[in-house]
Amino acid sequence: MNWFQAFLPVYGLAADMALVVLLSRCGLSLLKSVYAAFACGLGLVLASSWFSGAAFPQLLADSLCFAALGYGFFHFLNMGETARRIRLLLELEAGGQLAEAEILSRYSAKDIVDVRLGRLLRNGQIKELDGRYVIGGSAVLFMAMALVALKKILLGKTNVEISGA
Amino acid sequence: MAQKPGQTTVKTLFWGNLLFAAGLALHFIWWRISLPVRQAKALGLLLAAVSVSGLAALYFFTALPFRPESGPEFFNLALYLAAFCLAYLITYSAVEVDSPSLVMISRIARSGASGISRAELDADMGDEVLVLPRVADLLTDKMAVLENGCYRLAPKGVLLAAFFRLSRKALKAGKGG
Repeated sequence: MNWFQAFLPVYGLAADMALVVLLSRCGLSLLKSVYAAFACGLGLVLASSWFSGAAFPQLLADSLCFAALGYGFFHFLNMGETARRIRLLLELEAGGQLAEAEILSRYSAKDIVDVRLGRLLRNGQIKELDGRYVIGGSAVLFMAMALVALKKILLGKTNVEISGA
Repeated sequence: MAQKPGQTTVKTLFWGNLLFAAGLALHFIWWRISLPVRQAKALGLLLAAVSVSGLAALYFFTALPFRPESGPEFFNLALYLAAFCLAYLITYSAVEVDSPSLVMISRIARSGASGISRAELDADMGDEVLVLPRVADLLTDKMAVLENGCYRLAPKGVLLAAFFRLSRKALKAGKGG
């Protein structure tokens, strides 16, 4: 293995990051940009690994390593998109000094619930029937159930609560 | 120890998965015995310690099988470990603190076919649950300071806010949240 081969997943990540910026600036939605850029990055890693003469186990290792780096990058983007803490930091940066009431006037629980309900409705994860919300899709519900299972294994907890979050 | 040609291809996969699995096993055991106060920090330190110890053992114990031998091979293995540890750390943050979307989905799922109204959702998800604990977290993590009843960013918060503002600008995205 030479240094070029050792860095292959990093090149894939660099391509992934550059493409996300390019595609989202061209007007593609952030999620679609992330998917498309990830596919291109993975293609680049697989092709480079293959043409540099790597055997299957190393090709698999390079792909898995890139996938883990891409997953981390996706979560970084997701933090900017959905994390309450980051939004509060941006509000404090814009506002300078803010009292609690001023913070809540800029970013309240109602805003948080509105944005998330809109997102879940748009993605088909929930449906609104006669003013009541019911489950519409299974992807986010599956994620919630997987997290509950992980909580049970690690923490011995089965509930999903946000107090203190 | 002399290595057969085929051994060189499985080094990263073999040791990367073995060391990551060892880190996870120690994490599960530790958490079941006693939950650390600062979970993410403890988990990060544990995974880093296992990775560094493993790499050091591979460097010094030359009799180990599938051992990386060159600088690029060690770097490739370290990169693999770092990528997986980082991915798990990020995932763990969702275990430690539930996201509002997942809580909403869980409540809607629990309500079954009859569903849940907006008022019922709002009743459990007010400012005191969704916003104020996050503001308090900014103080705990030294991202912000509270002076004369007003919050302002601390140097650490200024850096992080600038980093996210610039990245959001590069993506032509709004404030998010």
